[in-house]
Amino acid sequence: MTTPIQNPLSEREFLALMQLRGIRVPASYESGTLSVFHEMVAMAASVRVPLDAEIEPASQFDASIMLRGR
Amino acid sequence: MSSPALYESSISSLGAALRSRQLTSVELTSAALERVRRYDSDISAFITVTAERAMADARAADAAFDSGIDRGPLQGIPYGLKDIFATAGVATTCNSRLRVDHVPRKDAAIESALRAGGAVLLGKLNTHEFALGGPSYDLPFPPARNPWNYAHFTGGSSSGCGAAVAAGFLRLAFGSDTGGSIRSPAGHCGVVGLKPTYGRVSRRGAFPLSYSLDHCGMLSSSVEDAALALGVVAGYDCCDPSSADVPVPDFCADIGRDLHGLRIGYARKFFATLEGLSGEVLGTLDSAAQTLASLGATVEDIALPDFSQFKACARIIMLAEAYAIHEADLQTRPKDFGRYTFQRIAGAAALTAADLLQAMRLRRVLTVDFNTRVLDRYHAVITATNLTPAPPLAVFPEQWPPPGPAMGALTAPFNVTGNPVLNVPAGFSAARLPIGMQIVGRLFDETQLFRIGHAYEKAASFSTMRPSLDRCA
Repeated sequence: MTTPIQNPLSEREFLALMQLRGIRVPASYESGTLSVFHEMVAMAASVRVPLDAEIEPASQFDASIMLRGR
Repeated sequence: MSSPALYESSISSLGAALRSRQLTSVELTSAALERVRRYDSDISAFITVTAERAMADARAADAAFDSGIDRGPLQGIPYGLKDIFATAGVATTCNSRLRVDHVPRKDAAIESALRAGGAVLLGKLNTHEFALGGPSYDLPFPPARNPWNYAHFTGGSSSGCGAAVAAGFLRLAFGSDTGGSIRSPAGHCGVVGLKPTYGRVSRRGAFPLSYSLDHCGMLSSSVEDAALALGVVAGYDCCDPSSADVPVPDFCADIGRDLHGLRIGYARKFFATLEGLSGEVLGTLDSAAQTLASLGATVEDIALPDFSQFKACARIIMLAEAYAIHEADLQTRPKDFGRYTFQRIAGAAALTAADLLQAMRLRRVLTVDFNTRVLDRYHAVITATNLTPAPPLAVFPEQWPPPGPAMGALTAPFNVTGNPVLNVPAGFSAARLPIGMQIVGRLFDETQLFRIGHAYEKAASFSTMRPSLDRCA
């Protein structure tokens, strides 16, 4: 299991990260966007499940796609 | 048939009257349009009323009946579409400034099926922006209001569908459900709502919110209405990669059968300890479980996987997929999104590829667990639809999130697993606001859901209750 992130980004760091992704957050939208981001980071850290890479195919590219193309 | 009876009569009763020519589709459609004209200025269920198109559809349906042509159970029956479904020649706005002038050239798959079935399009129904970002007042169209109390939320995002059916404008409205967007408004507005199995109904032409969580379904005035409608819109579509090539059964086949021999799991612990749960909701569900037992089902308390895992899994997948859809507009036209929509999606720019893949791995674990450990043993599972009755619209603040329990808390788990879910009205709060129950079924076994839902509906009678719009106005 991954350790949950205890110190999510500050507002300033978050806005800088968003700018790296090409997104300028309108000033009036900032606080709500940041609170959703903090919740999202906590959730992302909680969705880790133990991985047995040797036995788990875990592919999202489903073989039914091949069957459909026949 | 007299006008007041029109919206209170089932689709099968209306169909019989249309086929015997005791009623014409023009009469039925005119009565529906008149009711919309009279009341929708207070409710805002519609974004676009397609009156001319509706009357043309109605005349065509009547002409077909006169010629002995019968295209199925919805011929001549008015319906509405959430305004994310593409309608050729009719604006499809998604209630967004980004698409307010968009007029599609092609119909969505659902609309094509309804047209082929001779149904009558009454209009395009209100939605939260892109089926996500509401209720808010910074969008092209104001939020729909709950017909049981205009000061209250309808639930969403298929807000206009819930409001229109509850108000008696229509008996049938088609919506989408990514985390509860059919079931939440059905529960809050006191109507039936079906999220079919993932893959059962084509999503082609429905503006996507989340590619792997979106489902298309319907809200209706009764369980039988929903079963008839599903028979019209279900089926394989090679143009929707999620579409399942499975037989389409007679969904009404088991309606009217009693519940003896059925095992129903009551997932009480799944919601009973969640923060913000209303005691009225818990009491209503306890009572509904007893009613199902009195109808012959074996009802047992069951445990489901950890609720927080479902919630996190649904949220990460939805945000990642929604961000991928809207990335270009978030970068170039951020202020054209409503505040809530932007706030809920934009942060996903910081999600990692590993976050998404881990959520999808967890989704597989949860889906297999629910469908084997739980549904191998039970024919269906019941739980609440919403944690509280509909809150007042005034509680929604300028900045997301609103206070109180999370929207979609009890519904999103079954978008993760893809199981079919039927909301049926199960009672009322002391403030006379509806409370809904979810019935979750085995994959592609909607027929069983309709059997259970119909038996409950007949015993409990909440589906026949309608708000008095004059008193409410």
